[in-house]
Amino acid sequence: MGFLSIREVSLAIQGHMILDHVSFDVNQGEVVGLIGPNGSGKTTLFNLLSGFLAPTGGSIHFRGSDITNCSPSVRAQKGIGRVFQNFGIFRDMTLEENILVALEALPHEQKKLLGDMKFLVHRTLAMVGLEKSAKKKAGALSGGQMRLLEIARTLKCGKDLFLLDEPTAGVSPKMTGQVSGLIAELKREGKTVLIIEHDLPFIGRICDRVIVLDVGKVVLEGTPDEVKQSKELQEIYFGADPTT
Amino acid sequence: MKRLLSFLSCVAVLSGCTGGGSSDGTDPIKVGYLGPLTGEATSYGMDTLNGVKIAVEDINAEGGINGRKIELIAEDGRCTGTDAAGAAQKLIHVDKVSVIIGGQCSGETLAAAPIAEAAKVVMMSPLSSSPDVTNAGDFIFRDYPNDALKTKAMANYFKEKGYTRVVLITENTDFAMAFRNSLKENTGADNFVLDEVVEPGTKDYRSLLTRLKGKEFDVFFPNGQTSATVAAMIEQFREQGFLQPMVSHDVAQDKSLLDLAPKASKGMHAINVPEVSVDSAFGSKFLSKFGDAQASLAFAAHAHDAMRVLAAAMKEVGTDSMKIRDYLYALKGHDGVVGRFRFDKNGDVVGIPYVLYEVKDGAWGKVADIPVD
Amino acid sequence: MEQLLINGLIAGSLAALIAGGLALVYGVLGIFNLALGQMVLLGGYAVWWLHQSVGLTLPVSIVGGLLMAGGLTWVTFEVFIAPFYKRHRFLPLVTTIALGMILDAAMLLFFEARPRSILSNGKNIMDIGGVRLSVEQVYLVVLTVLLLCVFAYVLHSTPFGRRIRAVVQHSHAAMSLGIRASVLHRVIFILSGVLAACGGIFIGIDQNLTPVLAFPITIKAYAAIIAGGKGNFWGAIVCAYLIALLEQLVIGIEWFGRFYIPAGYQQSVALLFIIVFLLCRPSGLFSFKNRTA
Repeated sequence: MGFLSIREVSLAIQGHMILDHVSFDVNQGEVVGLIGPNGSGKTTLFNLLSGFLAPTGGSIHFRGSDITNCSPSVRAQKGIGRVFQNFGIFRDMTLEENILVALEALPHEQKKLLGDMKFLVHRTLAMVGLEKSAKKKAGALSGGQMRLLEIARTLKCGKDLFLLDEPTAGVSPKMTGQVSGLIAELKREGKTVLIIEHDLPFIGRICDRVIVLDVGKVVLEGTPDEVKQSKELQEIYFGADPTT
Repeated sequence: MKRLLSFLSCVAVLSGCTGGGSSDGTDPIKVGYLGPLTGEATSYGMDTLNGVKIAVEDINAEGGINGRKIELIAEDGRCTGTDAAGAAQKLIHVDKVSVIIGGQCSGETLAAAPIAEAAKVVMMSPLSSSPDVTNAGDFIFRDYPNDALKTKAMANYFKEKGYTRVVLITENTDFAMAFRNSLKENTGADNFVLDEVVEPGTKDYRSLLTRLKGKEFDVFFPNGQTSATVAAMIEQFREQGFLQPMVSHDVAQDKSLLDLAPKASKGMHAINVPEVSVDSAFGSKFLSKFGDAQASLAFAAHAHDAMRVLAAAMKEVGTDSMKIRDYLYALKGHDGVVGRFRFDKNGDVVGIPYVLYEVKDGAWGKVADIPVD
Repeated sequence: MEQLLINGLIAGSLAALIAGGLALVYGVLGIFNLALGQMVLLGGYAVWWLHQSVGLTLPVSIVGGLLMAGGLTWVTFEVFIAPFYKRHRFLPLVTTIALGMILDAAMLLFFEARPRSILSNGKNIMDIGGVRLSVEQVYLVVLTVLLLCVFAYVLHSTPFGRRIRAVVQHSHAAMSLGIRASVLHRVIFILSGVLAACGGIFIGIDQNLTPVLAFPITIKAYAAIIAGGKGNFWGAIVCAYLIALLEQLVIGIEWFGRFYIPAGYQQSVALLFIIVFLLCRPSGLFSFKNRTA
């Protein structure tokens, strides 16, 4: 059984199959891309993994234990971190507070190992070059800066599995490089990452493996190169008659 | 919830009368009660309903009306016209009561009157004093005096005291508005320095009263529907440092006003119907059964007398509405707890005098009788 | 004029207590609690009962009343809110209307319809430069402001307050960080109940308690949170003071030196306030555009 294993997970809402018997494993230290057209169920799958939705069938195991029925906060304490498509930062709180509140929410035994919180907050902000804005409201940041802040926060909170929902959405091209650099940093630190992304070159640069989702089903799985060259992907994204 | 309350009160009465024993096979006579059992004016409803209950129990213990027991059916009018109209419909057309005691608030009575009038059911209010009730209908009676008389007495009192500049704050209810109009008619509209109408239940009068700063006036008339609002008015009036005398009506002459505003109520005057003493036979019976009256024992006594005079009518002429009505118009006099009274050609009570009261040593005390001409 | 400002301060302090708790609940849970007015009154009645009937001293009665209010709000949450609010956020709207009716009836049953005042002796009036107010009012206003300061401190300078703000601003992100939102939901709901009870005590001391005051109280609190912006605690507080002040000015001022607005319109101020805000600034007085994509 993998680090994260998803077994036959289904979600039906009012008779519609949003996810249809989805199964795949993610190994520790792996960076896996999750792609597929809009409405294919990618974000829904993330919501099932973070615990905001409960599957109507199947099970989810994380590090060998069944977390299918755990609450979001319990999953977070077990080490699952999430970066939201719509920026999961607290806009009316300062950057400092944004990091602090995350550190304070850690389980007791982990908090004891942190040492000086102030120092840790400073280091986390410095990692993404935002230490000078520590007292500013997070809502005043640019999209790219928000994303960096959120990833850095998740990284420093001792999370082991990262669910990144479109980390480049709303980020200027200039900052995209910085974001992918940070994800590479996650990989170096041995973290496991699951990324939803539309930017295929971006996926190609950083992912070990890619899973393609369409209409709630896993239709393709392989290395970025394999997937890029497959006919199915072309059909899913551009229809049956590709123009490129 | 109002259904629950009225249901409970019915059960209470029913269990009270079935305890009487003798059943000679005749149906009980159904008597409807209509009054505020929930809402701001609940205290009036409770007191009057309890007064009626005492009368019903006594009558049933005496063997009923020509052998027929009285069955009391209480409905909630919430002191509002719409609720009272609905309650009257139910009493008349569903329960098919012979007579109705109610409403209590003038708004209730005025809304229920056309329904009772159309169905030709005698309705007697023990508490409504609005001048409008006078012409509410041929079948509509009351054993509580008309405010038109009281405002006349009030105007005379103002004249006697030399109060020519009056401050009047009125709560927007049928009773208080009618009182205001009648008072203005009798006193003269030019004599009001401030004449403001506020929404029912208002508790904050501070800014309204600041308008009086620097103005000259002789007397303050807090014209509220309940003692809760009158208490807020007089307390905030004194708070602002005004020393002018205060005069009010029935609503103010209430024990709870003294608890709510013990300092502000000192020296306040009120013109009201005669009190009923707790030491009287009726008073002690009420006390032992229901405890202190929530608003006033006099309200309970008027309700008791309404039931008694209707029972006397039905004993004499049966349950035919026309006959009951004619009996009441022809009545020479009925000796009730509140005194000897009869009804004039409009169904208004005749024979209930007025009394001037004053708050002295933390209690309402009688100052003088006011003759009614 | 000074008198009007003071009057506004007194009325505003009362409104702020009630609206503040409501804003927190709305911000965090996204639900409407229409039994709020009843909770306000019950808090006042509980203190009246402990002080006047049981005979405890006033401070002990107040603490006891607040504890009872907290307990009652907790039960309310478990029975009337928790089973429903995750299914649809409008369901509690219906359940709390039902609760309000139950509490209305319960208050009539236990406390009767007659008005009650927590203090049995009258108020002590003082005159400061032509402005008249009672010693009790000074206490009430000062305590309210103090309470709001304590709230400000907790909300902005403690881990607990940070957690609350995090849940208000992005509940999913907060949960993904390991913050237990369901516990916070309970704590916040209970806090709003306790703040409401403080409002009830305020009424019971400054004016008097009657069982039917509930609905107008609820309406005013909602006017303040709508005008203050969805779930914005400080916005609601400021707007509560603002509405109260407007209510005093509307009827206390001789407009253009010519006429007074009839007192009957005083209560419309809060409703007018809501309408104007919904038309001009639907997102409230204190929401600024700070979204950069």
